[in-house]
Amino acid sequence: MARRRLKPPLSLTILALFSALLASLHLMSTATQDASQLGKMYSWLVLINSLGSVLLLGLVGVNVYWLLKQLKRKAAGSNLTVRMVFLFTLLSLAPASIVFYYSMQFLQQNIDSWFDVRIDQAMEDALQLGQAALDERMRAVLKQTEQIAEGLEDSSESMVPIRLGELRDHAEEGELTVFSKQGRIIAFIGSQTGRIIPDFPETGVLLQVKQGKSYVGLESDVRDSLQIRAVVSVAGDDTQYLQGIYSVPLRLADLAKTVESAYVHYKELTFLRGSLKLTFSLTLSLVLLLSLLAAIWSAFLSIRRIVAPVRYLAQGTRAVAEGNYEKRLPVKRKDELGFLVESFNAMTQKIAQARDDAQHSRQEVERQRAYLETVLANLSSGVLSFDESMRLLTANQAANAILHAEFDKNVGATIGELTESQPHLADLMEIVGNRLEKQNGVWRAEIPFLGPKGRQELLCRGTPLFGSDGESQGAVVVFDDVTALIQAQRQAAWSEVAQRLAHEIKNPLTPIQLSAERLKHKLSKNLETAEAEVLDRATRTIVQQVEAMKMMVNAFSEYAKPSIIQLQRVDIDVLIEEVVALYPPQSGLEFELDLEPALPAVYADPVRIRQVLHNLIKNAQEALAPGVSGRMDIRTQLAEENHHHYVEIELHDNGPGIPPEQADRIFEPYVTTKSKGTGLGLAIVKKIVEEHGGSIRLDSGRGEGARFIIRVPIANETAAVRGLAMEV
Amino acid sequence: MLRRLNQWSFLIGLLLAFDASCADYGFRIIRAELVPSEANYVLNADIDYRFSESAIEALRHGVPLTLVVRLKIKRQRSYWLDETIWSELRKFRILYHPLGKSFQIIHEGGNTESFASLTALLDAMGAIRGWSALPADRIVKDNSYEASLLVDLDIESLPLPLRPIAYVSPSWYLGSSWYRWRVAD
Repeated sequence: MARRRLKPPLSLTILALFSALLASLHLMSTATQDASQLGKMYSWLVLINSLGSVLLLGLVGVNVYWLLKQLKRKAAGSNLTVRMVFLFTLLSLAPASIVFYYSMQFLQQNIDSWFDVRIDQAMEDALQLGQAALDERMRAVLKQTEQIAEGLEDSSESMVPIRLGELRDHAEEGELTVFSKQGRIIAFIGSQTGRIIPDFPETGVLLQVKQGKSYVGLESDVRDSLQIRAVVSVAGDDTQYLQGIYSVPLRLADLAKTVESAYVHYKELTFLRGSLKLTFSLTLSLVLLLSLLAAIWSAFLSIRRIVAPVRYLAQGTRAVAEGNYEKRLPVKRKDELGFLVESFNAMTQKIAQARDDAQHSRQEVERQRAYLETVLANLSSGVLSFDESMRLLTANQAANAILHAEFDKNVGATIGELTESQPHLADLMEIVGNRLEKQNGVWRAEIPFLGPKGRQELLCRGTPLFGSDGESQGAVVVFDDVTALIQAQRQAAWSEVAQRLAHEIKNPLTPIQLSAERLKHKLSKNLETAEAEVLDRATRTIVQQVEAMKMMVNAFSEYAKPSIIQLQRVDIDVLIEEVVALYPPQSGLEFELDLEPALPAVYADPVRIRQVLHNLIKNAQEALAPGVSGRMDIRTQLAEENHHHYVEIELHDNGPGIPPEQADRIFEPYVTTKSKGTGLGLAIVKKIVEEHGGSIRLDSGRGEGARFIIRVPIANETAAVRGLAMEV
Repeated sequence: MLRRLNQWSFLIGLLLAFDASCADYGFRIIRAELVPSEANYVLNADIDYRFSESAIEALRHGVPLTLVVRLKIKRQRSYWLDETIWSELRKFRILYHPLGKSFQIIHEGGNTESFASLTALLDAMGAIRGWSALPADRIVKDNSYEASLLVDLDIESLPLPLRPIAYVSPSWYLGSSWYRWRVAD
């Protein structure tokens, strides 16, 4: 701000510069017109004005260069500037040129009119007249001097002054000098002018006289009047010379001088005519050049000022077009253009505000969307949404996990395309697609799904989506994996059945057994041997069968009753080795162990875990075809899933394996592939494993035989489970 | 033979060059000296004045010409720039009187000299004798002095209309170069 204040305004600088140039122009023109004091400064003034012109020319040149550069760059407002500058220049150049042309014409004619042939002749004549008058006087003077010289003839050197004095008394008054060839003064008679020393003639005159020719000449004297000098040699004696200096009568001298000075002045003027025209033309041209250049320069300046807001506006518009709404244009004026610029500023401000608002609401929407996505991602239910042309819009993490699919890569795919890229979804997608197409309302369905990890029961809910105008906007499908739930329900149902059966069946069994034994006891004595044998066989069968039935019922109640487990730290590897040791090679099974050495301990009831292992080993034994040597691989390792650590026990036999149609229900009671057994073995195994917070599954995916995978949480993770198990 | 021809042509060339550079017009100082005379040192100099056609024409048409003679005397110093101890400028005007068909020199003091011809005037003007320059005591023994002399036509004293032309026309640049010589004690 301070710097700005120190700097004089541009207009003031221009004004000062112009004033200076104008003053110098005026001085120059005055100097041209009269030979006053200014005449001495003329050259300087010409120089200053020329420099001023050069300066202005430079300024104009710089401006033209700037303009051309702007034009080349296609800068905003450059075309307008060019047009205005051109117009301005034309407008100032045209009248100035006309004035200049006529001024030059006038000047030439005017100066020529000063000179006239008649005046020329008159001046020549006047001079000749003067010369003639003076010539007569000169001749007289010469004659008189010659007479005195004659009078001095034959006078001895000592007599010359006396003789000269005598002769002078008769003659006109003047200064007479007699001198020798060597310049020695022999006699001198001064005039009234009071000169003591004679005025010697110049060498050229002496030379002339020495050659015998008399000299007479007109000169200016000390008083700036005219005098006539005559030099003659004294007759008879050529070693002496007489010089006479006579003044011209004052009147005649004055007249002659006036004529001469007028003539000289006129001659000078005539001679200088060309130069004078040139000087005037120079002055005039300088004036024209200066004013033109100044006009053009000021045109540039003012046009730049006028065009500046237009340029700003163009720049601003360009900036806005490029999306920069922050640009504010400087408002320097109070006129219409200033108002325009202000309006532009207001407009950009409003646009910027609107853009900010839009951005803000977009951010809000984004935030909401992100929030919804987070909620969706953390839902345990799978969610798939489709647009109106049944293309996948979104899918959450749970959908991926439940259906073992990668929907993220298939966003935008139709149901058909989804099936193509992920064939295991084919059945499910067909059902879901049909439902979505055909049903306009909300629907619910339990759909079995055969995934890579076995059969899953899905509970699907489909909801068509409608826009505010009732137009279909697609649909959303929410599904839950209810496999575990259904299995639990089944299991609970079975427990109930088992308890009832145990209760209902066990009660009549004892009276049946007792009655049969009583029958045998009472009747065997009274019957024949053959009949008694039949009775004995029959009652034994009854008792045996009842016994078997009791066993079965006990097994049922065993399965059904809530178990009590005693948890303690157990090293699974040790436990496996102990169990395997009980099966010698004669048992028909060969074991191969691959146990992870540094396996962490688990909290488990060793008795129950042993039962699990026994059940599974027995299952394998029983499944073996007769005469085939069985083999079982048992492998332990540490597994991790969803940040939980488990000890994984994998048991793999070389038996016939589980048929696929039974695979998903193998852990339910009475689902068995064998001819003997209760059909509760695997159900009990599953129950025990689940009571330990673990899981068991059948991996029928690879190789032959059955492969069971048991997972038991490691010790520190069992803590939570333990509390749970205690309650059970 | 060929060699002699070469020598001749060289000589002719040299003469032509000399002719072109000096013989046309321009002032030339042929000789200058400062001699002690009583209480002062006086300047004696021979100057060859050759006016250009345009200058003579102007003179004959009544334009007075002003000549300037500059004399400078410097004490030479080995340790520093030379010290100017005397600087003098003398002007005199020459003009033509058509009435008496004579030429006149007007000295600065107003003294006039008339001559019947221009040659006589130039001869007289070219011989500077006994111009008293500086007091003798300004020249100190054992110091070395250098005097320089220049004669020039004063364009600024020409009539105003003639000046712009004179400034740009070479025929008006008649001044001699500086003539330098050592001043004897």
